[in-house]
Amino acid sequence: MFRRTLLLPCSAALLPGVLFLAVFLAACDQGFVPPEDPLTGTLIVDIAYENYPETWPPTEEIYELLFVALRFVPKDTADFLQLNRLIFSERLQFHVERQTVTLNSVRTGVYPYSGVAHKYGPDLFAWRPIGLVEEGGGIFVISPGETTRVSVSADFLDPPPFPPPEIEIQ
Amino acid sequence: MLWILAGTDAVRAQHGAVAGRVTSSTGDPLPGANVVLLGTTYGDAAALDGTYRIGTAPVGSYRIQASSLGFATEIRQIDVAANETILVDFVLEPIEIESREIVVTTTRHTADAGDIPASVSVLTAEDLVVRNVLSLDDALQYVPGVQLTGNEVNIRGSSGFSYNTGSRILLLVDGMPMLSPDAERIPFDLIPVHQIERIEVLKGPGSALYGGGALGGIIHILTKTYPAKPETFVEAYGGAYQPAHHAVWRRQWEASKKPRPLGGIAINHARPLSPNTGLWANLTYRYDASHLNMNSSRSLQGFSKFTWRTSPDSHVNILAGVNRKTRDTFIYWNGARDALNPGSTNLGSSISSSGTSDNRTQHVSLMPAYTNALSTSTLFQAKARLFGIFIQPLDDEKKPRPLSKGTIGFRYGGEVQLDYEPAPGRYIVAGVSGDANFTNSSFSGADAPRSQPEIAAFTQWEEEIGRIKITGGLRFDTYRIRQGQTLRKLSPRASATISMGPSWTVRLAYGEGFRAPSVLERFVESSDHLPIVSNPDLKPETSRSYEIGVRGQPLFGGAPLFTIDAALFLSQYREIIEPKFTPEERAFRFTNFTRARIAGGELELRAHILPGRASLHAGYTYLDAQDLETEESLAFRSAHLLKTGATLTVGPLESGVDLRLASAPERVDSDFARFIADAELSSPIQVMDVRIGSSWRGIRATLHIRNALNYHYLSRPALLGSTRHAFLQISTRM
Repeated sequence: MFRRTLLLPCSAALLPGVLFLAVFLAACDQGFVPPEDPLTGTLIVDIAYENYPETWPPTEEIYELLFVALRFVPKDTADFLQLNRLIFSERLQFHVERQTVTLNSVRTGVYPYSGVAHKYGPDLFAWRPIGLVEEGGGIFVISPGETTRVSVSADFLDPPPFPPPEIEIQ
Repeated sequence: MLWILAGTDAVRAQHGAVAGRVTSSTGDPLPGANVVLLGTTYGDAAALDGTYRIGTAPVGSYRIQASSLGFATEIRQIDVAANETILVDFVLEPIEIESREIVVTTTRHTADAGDIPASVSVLTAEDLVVRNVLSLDDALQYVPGVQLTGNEVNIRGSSGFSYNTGSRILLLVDGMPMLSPDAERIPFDLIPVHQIERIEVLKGPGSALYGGGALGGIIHILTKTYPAKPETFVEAYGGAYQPAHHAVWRRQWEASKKPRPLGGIAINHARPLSPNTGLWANLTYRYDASHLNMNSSRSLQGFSKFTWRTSPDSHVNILAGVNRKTRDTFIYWNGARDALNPGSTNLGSSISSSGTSDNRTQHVSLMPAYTNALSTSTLFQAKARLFGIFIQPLDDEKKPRPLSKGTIGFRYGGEVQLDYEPAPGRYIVAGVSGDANFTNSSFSGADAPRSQPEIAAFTQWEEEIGRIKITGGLRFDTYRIRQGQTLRKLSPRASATISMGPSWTVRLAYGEGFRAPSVLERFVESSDHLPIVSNPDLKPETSRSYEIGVRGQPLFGGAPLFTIDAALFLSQYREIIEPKFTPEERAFRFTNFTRARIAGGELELRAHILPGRASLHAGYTYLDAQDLETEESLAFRSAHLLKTGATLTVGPLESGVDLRLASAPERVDSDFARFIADAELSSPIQVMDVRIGSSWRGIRATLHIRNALNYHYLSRPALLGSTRHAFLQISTRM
């Protein structure tokens, strides 16, 4: 009883402070948070070049050659610069009949437009597709922890139309 | 002109004088106290013994006002008779209740804030000092209705974010327009904060008074004059940003695991040099390591103001300064998961550019002004200005590259203004101004013009009819935008204030504004950070604004306890210039494209709950910003903006808290996200600053904690706002 009477005023004085501190600490470090680790899968691409070796241009006309998978359907070559919405491979081998590339840590989701991209000039936007993923309507899905395999038939002399016609995503 | 001079002579013969003494209630004189005849240019500052004298006041009835920092302002009604001197003594109460504010921006001459026909917020020197405000943009964070998007000022949604090209807000220093000659940006670091008497923020177009640039509003800095006796003020501060909170960010940047320092020192000295001359001088050094990688800055600034009272009726002021700043500028992040590091855009297989820019920037400025009361009713002012900017990119070893690789620019001009008061309640202002600039930038194409000269004529008329004061203004501007091609713009304004008794005023205002595109906006050609191409055919932006407002300062026991201001506004914008990505050119291009309407309301309250011990201020702004072409919300505008703060003094401890809240922008521009990872993200803002301090033997020590809740927010796309940082500020006045 004696102890209690001594502590009561002290507790009463501390209580608002403790409550304020608790509310303050609970309110800290809110707001914008970095996104969670993106879930990823693996993509294996089998690329075949039609009519090898006749259709290959000279090396000096190949400024870059990449496999590119987009999470949207492009309307213009400038869309290839939406880097946070696409993935691309290392530079592909030149003057080969076929090549298989593996892309690890590919963000999960739907990829409705993918293929081999050829940079044919020094201009920043001198890109064109020379072959697209066509199976499944050209649309594939990367699932968490799983491996997806697609194939591309590429032809420097008979590239697919670009920009692409409207694609209806199911 | 002859008519004006004839009128002047007629009035000169009928004048009297007002003299007296200003003291505190304890009988101490109040040197430096301002005594003015409201609605006129007549006034005086009290001398060391508190005496003042207004030597040549025209015959008539006036409201005379005495004010001094820390004392309640007093206003009295007087009648000035011919060839007589009226004695009016003031005894000011040392209570920290809301005093009447004086505003000059809206009318180009001194006016009681209760009578002005526009929305104006005022930050006083005290507001700046107690918060240890470091620069102008820092100060503006506390003004209701003002939002900083990155480092762009946005008054009531007027600006959005335009990638640092072309300000829609005009900066004035002592009535002189100040814009950087390179890209018309606001130079935030030009004036040392300690020499600012107050900052007035006019919300709404002001082109009828001040010309192009005042599309969305005006920021007006008024500098101090020298004191009656020598005074030295020294301030030092130091502290740090706390380590990054999120582990994913710390992993990407090792240095973010440790505190990042910031600090600075400022020395001010002000003194009279002779009975008729005096000056103040300031030297400031600041360093900021920043919470972001490659965003540190260090600056050295020197500024001075010299005053020469050439006669009892005239004086010369000369403002001059230099500022050198070396900094990395963080432009955009490397994605939301690597927000502390600058990103890079890969524009192809061989070209990449970094999201940071390293520069050394030097500003020089010189602003002489001459003021002469030609007669009891006529005031003449002549002002000149010269600004120079030199930007040198830094190489990998942090050495400046030649100016030919950067930007060199000059802006120079002047104006003359005549104030004429033919009768009490009638006030006429007229003047002409001219400016020219010279810019040579590595960012502009080879065929870009180097200059865009402009001249203007302006006039304003005020008439007081009973309780109603009507104001009309007109300004004609002409720009030569290229050889043989000029741009002309007529900007009208009209307003009325209606006094609803001693404490309440209703205002109605209409105004137009415009902004001519800068040389750099029209002729920029660059691929350094993003591909940008020129658009020489840009048209000027225009705005039209309507406002209805009410301002009250009700009296309780004879003293005003709080001030409340409410406004409804509607602004229409045309030909807004913003960078848009044009696929056919495969680059950004400044384009006139938007027809926009911003409607909204604002409520501002300043109150002293316990006079001298506790105060509160709050301002809420609602914006409905619509792009009338796309029928979408305008990008980068927050619909809700709340600025609030409070101070509390308990015994020797002084404390304060400021809170600013902004809802997430209704929309952000997706073009930026073509190149920058996660640039489509946005966030609300909830920032709280707290401070606690005390004074002991003339030394004041204050601990500041900025963003005390460590709330993470985006100040603009791909740029993380300042995280929590704390610093100790120590100052002394000798």
